[in-house]
Amino acid sequence: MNEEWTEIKAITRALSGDQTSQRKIYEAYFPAASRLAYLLLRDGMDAEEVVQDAFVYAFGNLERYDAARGSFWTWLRVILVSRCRNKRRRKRIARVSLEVLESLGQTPRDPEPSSDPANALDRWDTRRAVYKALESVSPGARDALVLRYYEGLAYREIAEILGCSNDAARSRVAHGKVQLRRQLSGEARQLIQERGAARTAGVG
Amino acid sequence: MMTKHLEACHLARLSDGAAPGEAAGHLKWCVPCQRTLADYVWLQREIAAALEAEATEAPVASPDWEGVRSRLGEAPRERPDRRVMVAMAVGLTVCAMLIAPFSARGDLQVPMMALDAPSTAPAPAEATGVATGIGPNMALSNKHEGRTRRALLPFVPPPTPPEQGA
Repeated sequence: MNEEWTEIKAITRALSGDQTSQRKIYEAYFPAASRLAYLLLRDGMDAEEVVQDAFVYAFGNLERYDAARGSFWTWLRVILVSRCRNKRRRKRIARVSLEVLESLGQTPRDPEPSSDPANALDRWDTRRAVYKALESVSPGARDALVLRYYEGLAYREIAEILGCSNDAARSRVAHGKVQLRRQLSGEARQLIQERGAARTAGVG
Repeated sequence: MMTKHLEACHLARLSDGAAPGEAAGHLKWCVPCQRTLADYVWLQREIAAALEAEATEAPVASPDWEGVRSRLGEAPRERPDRRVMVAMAVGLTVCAMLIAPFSARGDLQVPMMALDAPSTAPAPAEATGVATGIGPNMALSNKHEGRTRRALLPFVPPPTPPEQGA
């Protein structure tokens, strides 16, 4: 409650042009905005650019923010997702392979430390496979998956952000999962075949 | 009893809390559908974990407040501009709709051309007046402004005024 009150107070001051309050708001939401933009765009520089654009727009149009309709983050997120989608549309973003991203140091590098290295490796492999498979999901479905499973939004909120109906939002998430499962099944099959071939070669 | 397997999308929706409805009966006994549903439940957890890991280790740049601040001064405020643009667009459309019928009929051409044969020769006009349609002929042409279409006469130069002392 106190936090909400502080945010509203900061926004009221920011509205009157108080740059200290604007800066506070910016610094409070910058990390979350950057992460979400990165997940949607999968490019650090693009994400940085879009986040700045979103904040410039938000502060330039702060009178449009209606606290009764939701938190500042809810409003900023709508702006951010919309800008990410525009950016992707403009760029016709190339699906960068995991290997290229890794060479740029833009993927999770090391599994988290664990007392059980085998388990940690399994988890890392699974996450890596899911992460890689997410690249193959269509952008619309991917946005919906990120909003649903990273941001933890309700379908109603996803629909509002993506500008579609509740049912369409639900369908996008479901289609994303179907695509993902198909992709992972294919990879799993391939892995089993490769292991089988290696075992046969080892025996032979 | 449903004998056909449930569609993948349907199962994906069920895994996320959609009401099973008729599918509940099928799911009670169909092992392949149960497995697929379990796959989707597992997949949801993995998606969340993978995205969380990716976000945590994402190359997040340090905040650049100065960059935002410098752009704020030059950022146009969208709302008033959009309103003005919409108002102007509506105004122009209305104007165009009002003018279009006249324009199509040619009534907007220089009015002095739409003359019925005058009973008397019009008074001579100065050359500039004729060319621009400003002069004594204006009164006549205004009199003939109306909604009925009439043939436009070809331009006839006004008679030469009688020479002084002739």
